[in-house]
Amino acid sequence: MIRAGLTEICRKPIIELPRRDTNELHFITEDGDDVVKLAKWAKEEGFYLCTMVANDERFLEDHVFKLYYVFSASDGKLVIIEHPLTDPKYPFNYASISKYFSSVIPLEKEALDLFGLSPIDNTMNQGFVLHDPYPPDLFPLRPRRSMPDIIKRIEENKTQVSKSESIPLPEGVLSLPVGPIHAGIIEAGQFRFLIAGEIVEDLELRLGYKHRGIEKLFQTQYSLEEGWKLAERISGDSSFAHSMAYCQAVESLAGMEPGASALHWRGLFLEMERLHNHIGDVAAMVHDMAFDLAASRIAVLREKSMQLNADLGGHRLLRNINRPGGVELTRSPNLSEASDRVRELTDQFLSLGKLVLEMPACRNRMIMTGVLSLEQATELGATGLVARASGLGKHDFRLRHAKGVYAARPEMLAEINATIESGEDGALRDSNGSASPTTSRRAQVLKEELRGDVFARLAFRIAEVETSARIIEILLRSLTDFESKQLHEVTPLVESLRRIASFEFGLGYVEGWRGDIMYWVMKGPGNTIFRCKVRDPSLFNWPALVSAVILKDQQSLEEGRSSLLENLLADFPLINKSFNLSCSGNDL
Amino acid sequence: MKNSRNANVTVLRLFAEQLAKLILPESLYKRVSEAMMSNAITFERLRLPELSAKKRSVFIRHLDCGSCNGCEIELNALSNPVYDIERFGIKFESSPRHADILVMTGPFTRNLEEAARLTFEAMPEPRRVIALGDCAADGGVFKDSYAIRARPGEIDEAIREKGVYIPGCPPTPEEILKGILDVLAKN
Amino acid sequence: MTKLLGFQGLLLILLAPCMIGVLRKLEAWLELRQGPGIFQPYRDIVKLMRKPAMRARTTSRLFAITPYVLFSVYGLLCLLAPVFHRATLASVDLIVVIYLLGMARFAFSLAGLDAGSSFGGLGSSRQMFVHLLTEIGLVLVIIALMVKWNTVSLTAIFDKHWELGYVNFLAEPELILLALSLALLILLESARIPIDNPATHLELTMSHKAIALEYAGRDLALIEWAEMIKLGFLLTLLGNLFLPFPRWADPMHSIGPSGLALAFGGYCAKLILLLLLLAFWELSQPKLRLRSIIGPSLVAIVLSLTAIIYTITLRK
Ligand code: SF4
Repeated sequence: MIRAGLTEICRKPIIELPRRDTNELHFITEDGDDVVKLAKWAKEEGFYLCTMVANDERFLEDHVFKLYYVFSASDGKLVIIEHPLTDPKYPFNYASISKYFSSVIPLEKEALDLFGLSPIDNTMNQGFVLHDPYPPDLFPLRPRRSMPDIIKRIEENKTQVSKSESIPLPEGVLSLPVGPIHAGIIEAGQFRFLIAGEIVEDLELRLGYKHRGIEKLFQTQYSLEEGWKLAERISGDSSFAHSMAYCQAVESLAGMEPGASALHWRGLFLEMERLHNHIGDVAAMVHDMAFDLAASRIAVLREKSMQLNADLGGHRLLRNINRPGGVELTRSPNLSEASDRVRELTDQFLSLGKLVLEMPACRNRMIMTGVLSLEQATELGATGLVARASGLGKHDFRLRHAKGVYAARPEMLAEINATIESGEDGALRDSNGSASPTTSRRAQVLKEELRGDVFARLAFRIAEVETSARIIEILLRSLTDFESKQLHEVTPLVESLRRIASFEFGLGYVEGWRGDIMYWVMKGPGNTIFRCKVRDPSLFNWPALVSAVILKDQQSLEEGRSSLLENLLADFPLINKSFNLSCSGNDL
Repeated sequence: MKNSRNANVTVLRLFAEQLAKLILPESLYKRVSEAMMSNAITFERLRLPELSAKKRSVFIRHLDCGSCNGCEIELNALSNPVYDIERFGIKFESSPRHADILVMTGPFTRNLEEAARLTFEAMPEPRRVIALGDCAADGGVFKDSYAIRARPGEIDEAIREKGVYIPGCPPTPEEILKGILDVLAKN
Repeated sequence: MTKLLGFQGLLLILLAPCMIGVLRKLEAWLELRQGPGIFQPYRDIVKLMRKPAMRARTTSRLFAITPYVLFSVYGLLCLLAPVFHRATLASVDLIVVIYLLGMARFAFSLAGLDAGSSFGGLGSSRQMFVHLLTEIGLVLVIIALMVKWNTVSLTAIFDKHWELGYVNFLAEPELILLALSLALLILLESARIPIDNPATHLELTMSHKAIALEYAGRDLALIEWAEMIKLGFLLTLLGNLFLPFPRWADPMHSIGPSGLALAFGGYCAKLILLLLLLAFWELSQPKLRLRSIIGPSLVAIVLSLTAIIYTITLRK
């Protein structure tokens, strides 16, 4: 159906290339207008843009720059559109699809800084990730630039042009820059508020401060087998999800899947990561509301779940477990005890979560604060929990593109589906003792609660903690059943990788706790990485945060609610926490 | 309405739990809490006699120089009841002006250089600096990147003379506490 | 001896940090933490005193003297009000108290503007906003007290309590209303939950702390100490206005050592009770949205108005 749709729209014939994974469709089109038309069609079909990869293939057989768009179709297929920039008039320019997918904008800005590629009618400025200290023509990701060479050019750079532009302020509006260094223990990034009194009129983000040149490091310092080390240090809170996505990309490149027990371990740790981060987020949000009676107790539970991580996986942040081809654990963990600990922890967590959701003063602070409407979320291509809390309930890669253990175990998908309920009473329902998986739940979000406000995000986090805990229990049970708990299940990849031609690419995608993470890895000669494009969910959700904070267009709102929808400056920290995005994942 | 009553009851229950723990002898408390079926949170607080031996007042300020946020997670963990850093007289402060110790995480990115230098300079003497994590020690996995630069000499000197490196990726909260103790002992 | 007792306020000044220490300890305990010792505030102050006061180059003298203004205003307040004995340096009425508080807040807000940083300005505007709301309430409380006791002199009210030795809240329900109203206003005035969180690290939500962020070293120590004194003073005021000592604690204004010891002990007990209540309150309440602050101050106003009407219509 997708195939037919695509051929119908395109002016020029579109070529399809075979993919090993039947869930991936790969098309090539050279025509810029066709790409835009395709985007329009994809938008209408409800596709979600996963990533745009810019790649410098001028020294490969095609001698051009290329763009790869990856879309997620609603029927579980991933559509890859390869777009070589063959037009000799515009070797560095392309037709932008940002009119239909505004989430592509940060990716385009990245491509401008790192490759020097820009949309044809470019209005963007440099400086998204490479700020003032970098010379404007550096383009570090072009493969002919070697690391020492780049460093030399930066250090010799004398032209200090300021890349940040200043906007003229309307009368009565004050600009308030906050950051990049913040007062709390949080990451570095700058927020520039335009405030009228206490009301936030506009918010401008300036990120990129934490740019560490990760994609270049992949190309120059790491081999395909070793890349996980870097991947799991891109965003510490999502260590496991990142390394898992990386490993999946390499595995898909090699055309293999790890063994069953390795897949179970991966699912287990992925959910454990979700568990400890969601609990930590709830603790932080409650602490921001200065409700420390609950916050400190939830913080203890966070700590306990991190200790559980250490006992099961050997690392508090679940590092050093994933390998391309499987998992490697250092010791054999006590699974039945772990299951008890998870149950106790979630039990305590849920009753505290219930307290927070029911506390009138907390509700007052959260309800209708920082609203990201369903339209905005769709428009901006928001992802992960943020999108789900705005009403895109099924936007979850575990459901959309179930892979690994999720594909094998439908009961886990049932649990995920049960996170949202269209029930009638109370935000959180007490257990009514019945045995079926969906009815014995304690925490569920109601469909009509998914308004995209802070409350919805908090309630969703709490409900997802229960979902994760239940999945963890299922997985722990089956891991105990495995006859030999293989701790070192790594299928060697070297052989199969050698057989793969260079300049093939593989996709890895994981629904981490923050949203979907996508890796696009192209193999170079030998076992080098020619290009590894990382796309963290934060990249798409930062613009969503901005639009949740700023004053809404009054007309577009339902009547009577509009006065509630302006956010005060003092609400920002809470809204920000409810998104809890990563700067390091965004800046790379 | 029903919601708020429930919430109030829970709050009172939490208070009562604490009071009961204070007043009742341990065995009795256990029995009571079992009878009440309360799932009170229990945990072991980390014991660090070296650190609690002496009374002190230390204010710490965190400075992100491009970390992966793993180190921040562990720094934040220090404030939870399990580690409870405040009982040692150590507190996280919001302004570099108030700080006795600056904790730097992450390799030193070029984009953050200016902001980091300003923060360092806003700190009153003596400037003690802790370099937290493998990244801050030698760049860690990001060592050879073009986006990482050597720290300005003054900061490096402050670490060498009046500060410490705490290795680990990330160091555990306990290791961080011990590192803080080392800095305090150094001066 | 009575002359000496006039300086009992000094005791309050000196003990205020310890009082905060107790409060923090209580809160830590409710949060399942161990918390710092009750003398930690002294250690903090002493350490800060030893550090240089770095001031930004953009600031004027106004900024530099503000900590001293704050400290002396609050210190003066302590000296002017009876603490655990009726003797004071001079007899003052409540109106002076309110405007001394207002003066300190005004000076502090000016300092916030003077610092020239964005957060200082933000903090100042929030401070003034809150003060605007509390001032009406405070004045109403005074009027109510005046109607009730026919005096606004603190010492006189203190004396009346001593004669009676107890407050019969059942017979005089307006006192409950007033006590609640004043308690709310104290929370607002001293920048505590539900309007400000003294423990926050979030620049954007701070009001009081946003200004304190600009100070360092000695200046900061003075400001923090002054804040502690202020809270101590306000709690003493609340205690003395509505929770008099039992008679036996001080038989007839005696100044004998045993009588004084008892009076001081009673005072401490009263304060600890108030601190416990404060700790419970702060932990069980989240912070309000900035705009909802109007709520509590309106409640305080309505409470005092009711008290006034009640006293006038039923008593006279
Ligand atoms: S040391 Fe490790 S945990 Fe810390 S910032 Fe660096 S990579 Fe992250």
